[in-house]
Amino acid sequence: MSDIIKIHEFSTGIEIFGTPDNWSIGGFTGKYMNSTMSFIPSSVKDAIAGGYFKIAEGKSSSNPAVVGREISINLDRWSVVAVVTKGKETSGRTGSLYRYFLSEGLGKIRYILQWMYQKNRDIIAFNPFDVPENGSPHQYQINSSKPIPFDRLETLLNDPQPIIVPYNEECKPLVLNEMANSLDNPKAWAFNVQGLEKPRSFQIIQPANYNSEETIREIISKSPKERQFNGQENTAIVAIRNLTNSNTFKAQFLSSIEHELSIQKFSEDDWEDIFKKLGANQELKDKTYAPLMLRLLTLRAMILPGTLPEFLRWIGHTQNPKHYIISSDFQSAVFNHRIECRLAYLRERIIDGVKYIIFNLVKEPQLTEATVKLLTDEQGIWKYYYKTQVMPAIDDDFKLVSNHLKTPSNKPYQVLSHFCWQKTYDRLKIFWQPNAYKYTLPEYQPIAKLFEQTSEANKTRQELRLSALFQHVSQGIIPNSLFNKLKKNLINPQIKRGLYIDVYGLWVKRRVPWYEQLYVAALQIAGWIFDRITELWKLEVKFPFPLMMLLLGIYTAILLGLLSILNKNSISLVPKISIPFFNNDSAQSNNEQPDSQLNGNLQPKDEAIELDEPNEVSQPRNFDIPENKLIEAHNKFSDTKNVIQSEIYKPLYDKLNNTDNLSAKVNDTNNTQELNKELDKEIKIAIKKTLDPENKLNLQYATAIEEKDRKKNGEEKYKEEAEKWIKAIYAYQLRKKRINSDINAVGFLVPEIGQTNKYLRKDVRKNISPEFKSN
Amino acid sequence: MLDFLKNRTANGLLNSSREPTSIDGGDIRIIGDKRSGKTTYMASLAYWPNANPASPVHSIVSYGDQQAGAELINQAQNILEQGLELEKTNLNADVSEVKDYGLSIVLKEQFSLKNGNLRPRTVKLNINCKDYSGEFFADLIYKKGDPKLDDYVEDCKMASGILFLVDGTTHRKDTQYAKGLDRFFQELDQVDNSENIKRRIAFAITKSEQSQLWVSRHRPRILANRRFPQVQQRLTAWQTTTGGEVDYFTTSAFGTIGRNSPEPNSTKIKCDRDGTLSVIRKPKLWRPFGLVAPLYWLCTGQRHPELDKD
Repeated sequence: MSDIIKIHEFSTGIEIFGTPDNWSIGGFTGKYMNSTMSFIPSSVKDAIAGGYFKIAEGKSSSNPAVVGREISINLDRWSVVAVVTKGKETSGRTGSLYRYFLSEGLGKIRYILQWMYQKNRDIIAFNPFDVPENGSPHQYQINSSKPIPFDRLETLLNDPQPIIVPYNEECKPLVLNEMANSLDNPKAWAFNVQGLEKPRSFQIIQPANYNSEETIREIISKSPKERQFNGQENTAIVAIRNLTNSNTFKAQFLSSIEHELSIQKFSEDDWEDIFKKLGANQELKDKTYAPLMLRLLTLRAMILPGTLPEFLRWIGHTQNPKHYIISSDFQSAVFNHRIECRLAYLRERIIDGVKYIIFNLVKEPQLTEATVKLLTDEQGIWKYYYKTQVMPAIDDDFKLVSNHLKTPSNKPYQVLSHFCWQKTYDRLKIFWQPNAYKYTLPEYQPIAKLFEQTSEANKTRQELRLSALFQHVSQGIIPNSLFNKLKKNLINPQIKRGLYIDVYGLWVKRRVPWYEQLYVAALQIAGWIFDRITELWKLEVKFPFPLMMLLLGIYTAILLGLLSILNKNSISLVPKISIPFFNNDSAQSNNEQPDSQLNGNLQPKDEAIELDEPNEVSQPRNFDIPENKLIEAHNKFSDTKNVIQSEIYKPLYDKLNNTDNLSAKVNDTNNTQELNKELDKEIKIAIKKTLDPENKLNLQYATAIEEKDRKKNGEEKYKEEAEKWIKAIYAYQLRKKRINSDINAVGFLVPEIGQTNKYLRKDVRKNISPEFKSN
Repeated sequence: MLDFLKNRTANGLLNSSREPTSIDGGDIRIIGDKRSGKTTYMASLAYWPNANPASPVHSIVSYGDQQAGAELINQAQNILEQGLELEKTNLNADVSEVKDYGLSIVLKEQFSLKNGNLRPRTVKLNINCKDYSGEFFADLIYKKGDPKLDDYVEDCKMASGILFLVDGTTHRKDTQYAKGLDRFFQELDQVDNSENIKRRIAFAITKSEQSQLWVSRHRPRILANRRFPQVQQRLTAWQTTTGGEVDYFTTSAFGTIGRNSPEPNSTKIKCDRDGTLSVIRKPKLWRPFGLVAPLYWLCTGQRHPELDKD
């Protein structure tokens, strides 16, 4: 072999006092000096920052300690030798000084050492005056050399790592390196050291003297064996540290975590170890609830969904509401930066956490309250993904389960296919089989409770259906109150005999309350008495008529009393209660349709349950919107745009453009295309008119919603136009909010579940000229 | 959420005797010239002796970064058990690499005086500290336009409290410190203080076991005025212009020995214009003074008389 290798170097940066023969440290500069590299390779920099070359505090000496280590992160591979000596300040105070030599690629440590001996006959230590010529790397011609024998030390190689070579064994760095070469990767050894910051990360250590050998052995025996990352973990550690150590959110570190997740550098166990290094496991025991730890464990639960139950148990232990607020604030900060930091991998993990924590209630029902709190916390990131993604997905999945029975399809499940939900799915699908009513799975009761409680807090109706399903599964029956809520909130509820409601294709029975049972019994008795009286009448038994009337009168009064209780408890139920009693036989397929307030079949189904609203109060229109809302609305404008196009414009266009309508018009104009254009224009005008009735803002549909000429006009112009829409939507929501408490004035529209959408759709329809609506 | 808060508060009151009231001190940055005793201060805190039953401090445990915690303990063992000298703290090129030291300080029940509440309460101070290299402050005085320093000041801006340590025997450097403060405040005041955080600066005179300082340990403001008049003037001016708070403390990581005629529990290695360099004399008699007082004040804005006592 006669290759030439390049050997780079750099040293701890100091200000120098004195001459080459007698110098002292003026101070650290925080930069490296005497470097042959324009920048230090990131893998090496990370290993140094991670303490993988560091001699323990106060343990450097004038007799150089040598650390050899190979660093390999992806394709970034370096062989590094660090020589550490003690330097003095003029005041006499000491500091550790490092001189690093490195060559690209693995297996080069030997050559670096050979080069030192060739050049200096010894290890080359820190010397601020030894400036590399022209700042260029050293060159070393590799000679084929004999293997270095280490016979006497060979027996040590069977010792558990880190292997300690006794201080009094005569040894050289080259020998340690040769020994390390016969061991696994990554190579790491330390020579002549009094103490090391990470002794566990070495394969072989030779202490400097008797005392240090004792100390090093003791430290190793005390410190648990842990995974060695060789510096790979440094970026993640720095990111987590800086993200959690202050209440000022530093978004660049969130991006950094997203990056680490995206390149899948670490396994779940690695992440767990990283958090352990930062004190997560200790905190679970110590429970300091310091803000830093609250943020750290919140972040851990985001990155490691499996630790979410542990997080809930830990935070559930504190009595201090402030602790929850710190965690919520942190969640909200991550949420607010999700677009800026392009969160995708972290987002998936948070969503996984939601899927897992719901399922986890089967195992840990005692966490129900804590889980409800987590999934209803206004600021919470888990709540957001629960409400917007996971819960609707579970709802869709069960709709699919129900549909599969009718028409098998290959459409995949979104949540039921998740590894922790698969078993649940297998157990639950039995309920769609005949005779399943005899079967209950009580362990699913907490999930029913969770859905009911989150439905109340989050004001979403799908959860009611889910709650009913899990109630049915766990108890075989659902509470009357839930039945009533379902009836009131579901789209077109299917009810049978006033007792059963259709939930995902299952007939779910309600628990009949006592007063209702009494009422039914009373009616039955009344019927029976009436029959007897009729019989007696027929038999012409003389019965004093006034007494009979009196008895009937008392009885009617009792009935009316019961009726009033019923009225108080469930107004809408009363007229239908009579059905099972009076129409007992004919009620089998009596699907009750609530009265539709709207025009026939033209309306989309979900509008069928809308309540008639009072006429809008005419108010002066003010388009001011608070700054924070405006920012959020800007961030969500793409959603808003989509809603306007796909949930307002499109359904109306499709409905009004139906064939009957069209054919009628086609005869008039004989020009379908033109009609389509007119309709398109009409709907757009109606949308603008609904949002900005006085046309004060001059909303532009094409520019803002269809993004016409966005590139040409520039981002500034686009934002300006978008802002008009945001203001108009905000003002519209404010106006609506006065009448409909379920609307939030936010300045944006939420796809699918947004409360504003249905009102807006209805109002836009109102504003469309009648000629387009006639069918 | 509100209901839950109410419940929590109610429960909190009921159980207050069991769970310590935590006072989250937020972030604290320790600044000061080289050799002012910043690392020694931190290490001594982390290694707090629980032996003294009269002390109002019940316990101090470190939390967070395990490596950082272990390092502190290791340093403390070196200086307080083995009587070794601490090395210079290296100046990190990147401030984000500077480790955080988390300390959870629990004060005993009977001494908690917060809010004039007479009920005995245990108070827990959660502190997150960064120990900057002395070069940071020294460079503030002598170097300008170093982007690294800007990053450090930027990091300081995030802190709610700043502990400014000064070796009490470096009074001849008063003017230089004042210059450093001028520069520091200039940078600090450029903070977008939209959240209107009231920042606190605790000025602590370290190495107070030295006899010339020990006699005035209970009069830190006067001591500061006598030894560091220019620094005090800068601090007062800062307080007036920004509405921040400043208070004065004396601390000693080594403490003294002897009750009637106390002597420093330290052996001087060197004493010059740059201050006093010493190591502990009798490790077994280690009894630090005033270490927790500035932190309590930084967290609460109130002085804790018990913590100012010997």
